[in-house]
Amino acid sequence: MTTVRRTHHWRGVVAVALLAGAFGVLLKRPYVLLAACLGVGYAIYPRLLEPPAVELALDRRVSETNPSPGDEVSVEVAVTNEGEETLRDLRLVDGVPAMLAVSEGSARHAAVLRPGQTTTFAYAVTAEHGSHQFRAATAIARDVSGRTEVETTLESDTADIECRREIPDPPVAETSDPFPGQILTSGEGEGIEFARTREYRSGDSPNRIDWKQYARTGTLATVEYRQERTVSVVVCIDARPSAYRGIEGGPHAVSHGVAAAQELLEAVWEVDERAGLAAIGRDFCWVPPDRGTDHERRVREVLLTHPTLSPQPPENPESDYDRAAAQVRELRTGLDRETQLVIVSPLADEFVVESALELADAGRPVTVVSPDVSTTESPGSRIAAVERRNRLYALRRGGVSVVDWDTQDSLARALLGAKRRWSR
Amino acid sequence: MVHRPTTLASAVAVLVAAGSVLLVAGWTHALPVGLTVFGLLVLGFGIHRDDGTATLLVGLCGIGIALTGVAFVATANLDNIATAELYPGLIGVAVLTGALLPIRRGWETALATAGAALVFLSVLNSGIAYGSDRLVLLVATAGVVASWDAARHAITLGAQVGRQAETRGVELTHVGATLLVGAVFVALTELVWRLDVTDLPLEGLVVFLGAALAFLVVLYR
Repeated sequence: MTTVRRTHHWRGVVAVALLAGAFGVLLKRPYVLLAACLGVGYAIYPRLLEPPAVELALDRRVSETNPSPGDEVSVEVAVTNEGEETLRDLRLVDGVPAMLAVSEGSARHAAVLRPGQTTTFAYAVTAEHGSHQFRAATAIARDVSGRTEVETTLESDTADIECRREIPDPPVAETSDPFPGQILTSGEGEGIEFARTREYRSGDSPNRIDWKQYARTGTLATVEYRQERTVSVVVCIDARPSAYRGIEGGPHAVSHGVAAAQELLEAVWEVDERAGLAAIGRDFCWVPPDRGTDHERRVREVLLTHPTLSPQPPENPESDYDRAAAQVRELRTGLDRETQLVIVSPLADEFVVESALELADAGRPVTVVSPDVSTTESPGSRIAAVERRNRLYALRRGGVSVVDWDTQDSLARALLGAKRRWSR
Repeated sequence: MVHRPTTLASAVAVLVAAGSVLLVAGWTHALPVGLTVFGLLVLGFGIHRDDGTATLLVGLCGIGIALTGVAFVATANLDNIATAELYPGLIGVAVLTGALLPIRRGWETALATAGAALVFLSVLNSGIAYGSDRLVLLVATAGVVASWDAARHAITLGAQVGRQAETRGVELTHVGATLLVGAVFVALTELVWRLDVTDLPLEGLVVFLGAALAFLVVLYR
């Protein structure tokens, strides 16, 4: 997409002509009057230039597509001027994946580029767990006077950065059972984990009779074990316009949501359970829970490419309540009776709270993972932070498990902290 | 680091503005003007370094030199008109430097415009009260516009690309083009003046210039 706009860089230069002209005339100073000509000259100069025609090609190479977390990945970007015209003021901003921070160099560059010429720049990012896709780079070309600028995006089919934690890695030990909710159900019966003993009822299987107790007391008792059931989990990302907010200079909550969803889903697949993905926002995104390599690949693909989860905020920032409500209804019909729901949302408004409480009331295990993107910079943002805390409280009170995730910290640690709190 | 004006265009803006002040104030004031500007540049360099103690030391040193320069102006035996030329100019250069450090985020453009306006006032004053030479006035006016333009370029380039990126080529091209355009218009104006093609009375010239200005205002709406 290309946009041409005025920069108003020279707005104000007419004042030089007006001021010098006025003083020259009023005070009868011909030389001062003459200086007004300079103002006129500078006012005309930018108008003699045409906006530059921008035709650029971008080639981006990464040193490592499968790094370990914490590794530095160097990125080399080459931009070639494929047009006929020299670009005298070209500014480039590379589309660094939303969750990766630049650790060395700068992902921005400026150059004077003659036709056919190529300019290169390099920087390094620190790898984080997850799949990271480069976004389109932005090129801004100004004419030499700076009066108009042409902004365009440059696509390149760069390989994604796939960063996986190794299984023996300590953080994974923390995440081996990271998803909230209980895989062991509260139901009792046959199983392997002891739950309690109860009085014998006729028909109970002899191998569940507590013979030791019978020897001690002479009364028959039956051992109950906790029942194990397979569970499935759906991670639902809140990607409505209101979720596109973040701490200045950092990724917004939707990017955090995508990263968190990936981590949660992989943790579920790791313990051989079924997991699926949903997202509400521009469109409803739905991949039913399942497991297996093909399913996992498909979900990762959806996380990276689905328009609802795009790192670019929607053009219309107004939240559409009816659309979101319809999407939640669709989500409910897609969920099995046994499916646990994990909603990832910054809780920027009441909608997610209402939906989560409604689902929890219907008896479904619901967990809300909330990346904390609130700040204390302005009175408005402080109020927003208080409102978010109130929403977390309302959710806890309504029986929804809550993980308040400080995004400076790893999700695994936030989950551990939350689980400790729930078990109290 | 992203939202700070770029270094090269900032330095050029300050130097060109100081050059304009020096032109109208005359070479007898070269020492105080030079000292002040050198002090301001040292201050800018110190703040650009971003490493604690060194920044403080270099910054203090810069302030010291700049103040010495201003003190020179204050104590020197200058006639009133000359100091009236020099003071707004020097303050303008200082304000421009402050805009580009920047002393306050978000105020860069406003401060740069204020600084350039003060330097321009000093140029106008020199033309009105002191009857400066025609060429000096023209070159100084071109310098004011070029320094304002360089400052604004440094600000936008800093905001979009940042100080860490390689920007020197783009800065030099833009500033060079503006200076070249200034030189061309100074030459043209001087040429037209020397040709003395018409015996127009001042009133005629005024009407003509008024029409040209009205045309410009319409163009810019």
